[in-house]
Amino acid sequence: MKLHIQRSLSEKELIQGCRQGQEKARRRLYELYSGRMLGLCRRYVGDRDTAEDIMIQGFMRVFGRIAQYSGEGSFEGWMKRIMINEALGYLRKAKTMYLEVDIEKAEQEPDFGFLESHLEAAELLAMIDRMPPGYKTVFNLYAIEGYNHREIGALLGISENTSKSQLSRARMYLQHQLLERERVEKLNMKQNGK
Amino acid sequence: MENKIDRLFREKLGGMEVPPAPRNWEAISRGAARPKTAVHWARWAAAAALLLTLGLGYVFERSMRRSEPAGGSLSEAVGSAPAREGQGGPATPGRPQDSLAQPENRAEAADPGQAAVQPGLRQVAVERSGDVKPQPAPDMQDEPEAQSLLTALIPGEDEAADGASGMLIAADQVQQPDVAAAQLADNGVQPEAAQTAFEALPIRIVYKKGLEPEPEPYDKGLMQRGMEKLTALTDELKLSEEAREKLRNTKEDLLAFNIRDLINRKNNENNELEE
Repeated sequence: MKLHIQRSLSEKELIQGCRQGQEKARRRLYELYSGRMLGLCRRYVGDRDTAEDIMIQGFMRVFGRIAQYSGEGSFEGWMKRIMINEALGYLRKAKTMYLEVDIEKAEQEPDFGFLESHLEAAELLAMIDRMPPGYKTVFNLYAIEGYNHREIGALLGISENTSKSQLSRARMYLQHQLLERERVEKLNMKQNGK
Repeated sequence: MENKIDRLFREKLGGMEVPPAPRNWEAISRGAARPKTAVHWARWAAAAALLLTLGLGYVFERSMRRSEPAGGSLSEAVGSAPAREGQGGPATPGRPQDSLAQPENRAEAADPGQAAVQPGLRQVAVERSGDVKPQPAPDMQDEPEAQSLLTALIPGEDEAADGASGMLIAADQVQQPDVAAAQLADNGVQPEAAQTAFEALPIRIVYKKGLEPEPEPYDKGLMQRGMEKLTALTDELKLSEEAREKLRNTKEDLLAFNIRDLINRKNNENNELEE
């Protein structure tokens, strides 16, 4: 608990330093959060270089607007929202958002316990990458960031129903991918076992 | 099932970190050192420069037009001179009575007659030479002058007419360097009578335009008003920019407000789990 308080204090100091335009504070903040922020951007944009560009823009915006951070709520959450906005801005410009792909509903349910212990984050990220941008964006916002459909609708300029349908299609798509991955993994284990 | 997929991805990817390339910091620190206002400043500067250029261009053009009539009327009057001559020559045969009965014409003839003393007024001199010749006998002037005029206008009527027409041809040949005649016209030597006669000719428009002294008086307040408008425009732009910024921030705050609960809840859950 004590540690937690100390950490938040130093974060406050960092924020204060950034507000005053201190290069050192900015750099420290960047070092602390850039990995996570790039991870976030990377989920929205499959291309690593583009994701880095978005993160750079996001950090510049964070430093430019840091005076507007009220101090309420988590600072990381505030930064994440800025990054998400940057990523969405990019996707909006790219205009490849709402591709409809027909996906049949999977009969089977994946073995989540098995998958959780056998799947690496990179493999899941690859699955997200393969999704059409519309699915990917809504899934990221809803399942990982925790936005609701109303918020997503407002963010993306779509209706709640579109958001819902994009999400359910994304889930179906991922379910297929997970089942396939599970099948291959189990087959490999069997062969190795024998 | 839905939540299981969501959860699997959230747990595995929610805190995912990707190490950024080291060069990124350079870009950010450079960009952060030069804040957004720099871009704004550049935009204002561009707008101001554009308006200033346009304004100056306008003023410059106006001032050019102001100084133009001297040269402009010259070249245009050269074009108009033959018209005048045409009016003096072949145009009038349609109405010979006019020139016959007009005493003004005589006055006109006498007036430029003195002007004809100047060198270079060849056209006028030639044209008038018919009139001027009988001038030594002022008492006899009326008849011969009218006669000579008439003959000059209706070529080939008699011997005198022959001479006059010959002179006319000569006038035609000399019509090129009619600058002096143009000046004469500019100086108002040709009274309204001549000018009204011009109105029948299409070339009149050009002539009149050249004669026009100033389209409008020079507006001293133009620059002042331009600058005022520019300032007002700049203020307005600034205001709208601010409003847009505010709107964006409000939107973000609204979102933040909605999501804050979620995040706090998540944080609390995590804390509870840790404890």
